[in-house]
Amino acid sequence: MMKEIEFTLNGTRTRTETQPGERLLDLLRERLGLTGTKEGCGIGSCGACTVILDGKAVNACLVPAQAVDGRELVTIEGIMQNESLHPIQDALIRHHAIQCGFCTPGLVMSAKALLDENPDPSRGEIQRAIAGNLCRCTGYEQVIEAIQDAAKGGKTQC
Amino acid sequence: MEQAGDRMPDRKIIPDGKFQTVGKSVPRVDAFEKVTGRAKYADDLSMPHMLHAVCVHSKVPYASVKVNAEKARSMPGVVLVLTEKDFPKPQSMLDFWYCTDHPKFCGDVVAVVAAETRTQAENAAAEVKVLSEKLSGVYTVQEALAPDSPVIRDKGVGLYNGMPDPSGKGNVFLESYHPLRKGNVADGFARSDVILERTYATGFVEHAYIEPESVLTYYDDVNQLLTIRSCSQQGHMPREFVADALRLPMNRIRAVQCTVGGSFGGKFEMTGLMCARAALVTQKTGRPCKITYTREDSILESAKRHPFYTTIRIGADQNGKILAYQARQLENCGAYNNQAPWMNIRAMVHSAGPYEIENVWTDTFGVFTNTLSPCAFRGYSSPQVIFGNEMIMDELAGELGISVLDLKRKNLLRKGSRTATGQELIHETILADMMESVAAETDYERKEREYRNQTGRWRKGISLVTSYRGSALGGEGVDSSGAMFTALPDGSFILNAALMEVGQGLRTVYAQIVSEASGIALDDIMVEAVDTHHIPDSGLTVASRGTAQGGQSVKMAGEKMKEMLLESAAELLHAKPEELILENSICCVAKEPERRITMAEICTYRKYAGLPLATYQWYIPRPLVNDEKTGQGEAFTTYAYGVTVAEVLVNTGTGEVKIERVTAAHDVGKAINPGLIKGQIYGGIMMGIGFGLWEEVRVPGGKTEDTNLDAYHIATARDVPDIRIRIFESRDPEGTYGAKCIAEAATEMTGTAVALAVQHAIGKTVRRLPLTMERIVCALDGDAEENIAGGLPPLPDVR
Repeated sequence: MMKEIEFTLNGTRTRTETQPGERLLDLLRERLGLTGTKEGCGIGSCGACTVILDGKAVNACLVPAQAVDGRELVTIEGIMQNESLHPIQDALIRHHAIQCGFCTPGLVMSAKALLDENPDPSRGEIQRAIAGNLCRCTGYEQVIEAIQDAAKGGKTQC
Repeated sequence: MEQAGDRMPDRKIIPDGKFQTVGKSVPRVDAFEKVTGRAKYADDLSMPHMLHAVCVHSKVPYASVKVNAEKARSMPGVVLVLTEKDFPKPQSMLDFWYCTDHPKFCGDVVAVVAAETRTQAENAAAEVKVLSEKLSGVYTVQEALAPDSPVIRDKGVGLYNGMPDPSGKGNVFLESYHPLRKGNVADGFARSDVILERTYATGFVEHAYIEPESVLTYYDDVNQLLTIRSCSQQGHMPREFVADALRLPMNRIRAVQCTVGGSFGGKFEMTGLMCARAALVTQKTGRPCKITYTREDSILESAKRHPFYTTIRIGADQNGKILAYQARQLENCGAYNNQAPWMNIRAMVHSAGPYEIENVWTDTFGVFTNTLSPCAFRGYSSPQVIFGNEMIMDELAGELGISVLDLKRKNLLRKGSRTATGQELIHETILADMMESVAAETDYERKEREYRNQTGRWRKGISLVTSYRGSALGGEGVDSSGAMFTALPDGSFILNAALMEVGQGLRTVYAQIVSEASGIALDDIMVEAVDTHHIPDSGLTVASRGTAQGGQSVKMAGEKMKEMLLESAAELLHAKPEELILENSICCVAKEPERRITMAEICTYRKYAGLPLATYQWYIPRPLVNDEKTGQGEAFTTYAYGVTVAEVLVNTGTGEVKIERVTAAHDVGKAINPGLIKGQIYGGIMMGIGFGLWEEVRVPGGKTEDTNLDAYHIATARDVPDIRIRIFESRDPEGTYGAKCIAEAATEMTGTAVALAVQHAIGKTVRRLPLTMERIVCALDGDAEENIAGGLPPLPDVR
């Protein structure tokens, strides 16, 4: 049975149909065309589908679509402000912390959830916050440095 | 019309002798779309009336099957089910099958189900009945080589005196055999004071790119070209697979690259097979068809790193000079294999390590098994080869009672040395200097002595690993490349090259190279995606060749464009071309900088004068000559050198390993973009740690349970140690602007370095990777040492 849900998606009230058993990931990618959220494993192991639900980073492959009814969801498509990059995005570019880019949206979302809650995290806190985001290309070091830099509001040229 | 030059009013002319963009850590040209989620990967594409297909894998490793798809065909939304008989040519030109009734490994595809939705296709795939008549197969290298084993491939041959023997039947893959013969090893062993013989083993390793494979095929709207969009790391190969499978002329098929979510060598053959399966659905239905693999399907079917059994016999005099080296590098080639014949050229060339040894005899070959299908994987044999060599060097030093640094000092390759293939190293060879520098920086010798007799629960270990690596393809294959550079009337430019951006940053580096060569500002250059109908094939994106060799034609195209622009600028400025300079998109008379002209003015002039606005350049490398029977000759144009030091803490109770620090030094020739190089090294180190300590796809009896990232662990952000990178530059004339290679060099040493550091910490010898916690605990518990050489034939008698 299709069911209509209503939630705040990237700041906009959104109504959409969902099916029972439909994953939030499929709702975003297939029904709403928001393909910035990626599927890497389907079991919550890789974090490529990380989105922010009511302020917490979650794996969209593990969340039933109908569970977001009435809640607030932010995806990678919703974090630029006035067409300019979020400081985390800007820092990732300056620190060469992007390679193939497939894990990048999920990393950005985990980093944003962290900094929204803890604006001045230690290196260890950053490592823990993104430990659920697997990246096979970068080895994480430049990602960690970029998040530290973004937290400090820095503009380190690398 | 906005002119490109107007957008950057503050551009400066660069002082003489300095590079404009080469050597600078410019940000990636594709960074914005990737960091915003706007970059489209294959699975992000969809089309009206698109079908979704799912592949049904055998799951049984070796069988004759009957596929009953009657029920699946009647399920809701199912459009068709394909089996072997539906494919015009079911076996690909590269050995693997598009679809088969005779699976030889559990990842073979026995049926393809296409339906209106992905869920419908999955539901129907679950109802495809596969009746398997199981066959008796071989599931380990030892079983494959045992007398009277089933012969699983018609082309398999036997062994005689430990070497492939074409006159007998067996499971040895003859085409993968590459012998190396230098000097007289029997004589070298006879003169040796110490002789050691050891066997080392490595396992199947998964590429684990975060993007699982996805392909989309459709007929385009203009020419009805069968069009492929895929995750392939090769721009042109999908076209060859589809032409092969469907028996179509190649000019009726077009492949346009997508953003690729990592590949590391793995998105080639299997992705090509998927393209052909989807293309057949499109051909039969006229509709677009997408196949996106789950992670489980990906790990089951996709390529792996070849497991190696390396048996080494090494002889040295009492001073530590190595006098003879014999080895057999024996790899598990799986059921099908397209890579070992080429990979083993590299494995053979580097078989004796970065040491100058007069007498060398090595045999490198693979055997067929009903396990998984290994293909190319970052390093292309070097992580496995380095493991055997560096571990036995450590044991040899111990046996001789000297430090491993002293052993290396006596034997490392230097300028003027002859390698195992007899090639004289004529370019700067800085390995020994790099080693001394890194040893001093890490305080290696003091720490190594200090850590010898520890007793606590946590024990420290340090290791030092050296390597050398033939840059680019060299004698392994064809290293030519082509590039087209096009000027537009507004002074902006398009570069078309044929090697692929797969995340490594090639588009950025090509923009830098063509900018440097042409004098056009980086921001005025667009590096296009690879499209088979826009640019001729330049061979494979492999072997860390993209910058050093692929970049050659890009540089040539830039230089030619500069010549064309200066010719017209000279006319317009009433000067001679040699009086002009063109840098950063500014063209002026050198001695009168106010006499200048914009790129837009030059390009617009050329347009209306009917002069060419584009150039296509092709680079042919100098020939290399090798003797196939002995491996002797010039194997690569030049070599890159590396040193890695790993420092670990090991919990002797649990086997836990904490990696405290990794120091990695790489001779990159010329660093075109240091920021990107560091990214390659950081990523290579973390991948290498996985190879050393955790990563293995276990395949007991030809089946595996390790098919997702909960069972197959790769490094996380919490595993990152203190990493220190040293980039060395050397003067080398071979690569583009002197660049060598980095992608594979960055990963090849780390696994061995961490394992060797653990060996030093626990005082027990390590002969198998990955060195898991369980294996460390077993070693510490004094369990009987595994007889790794058991079941393997003895080394050939060389007397």
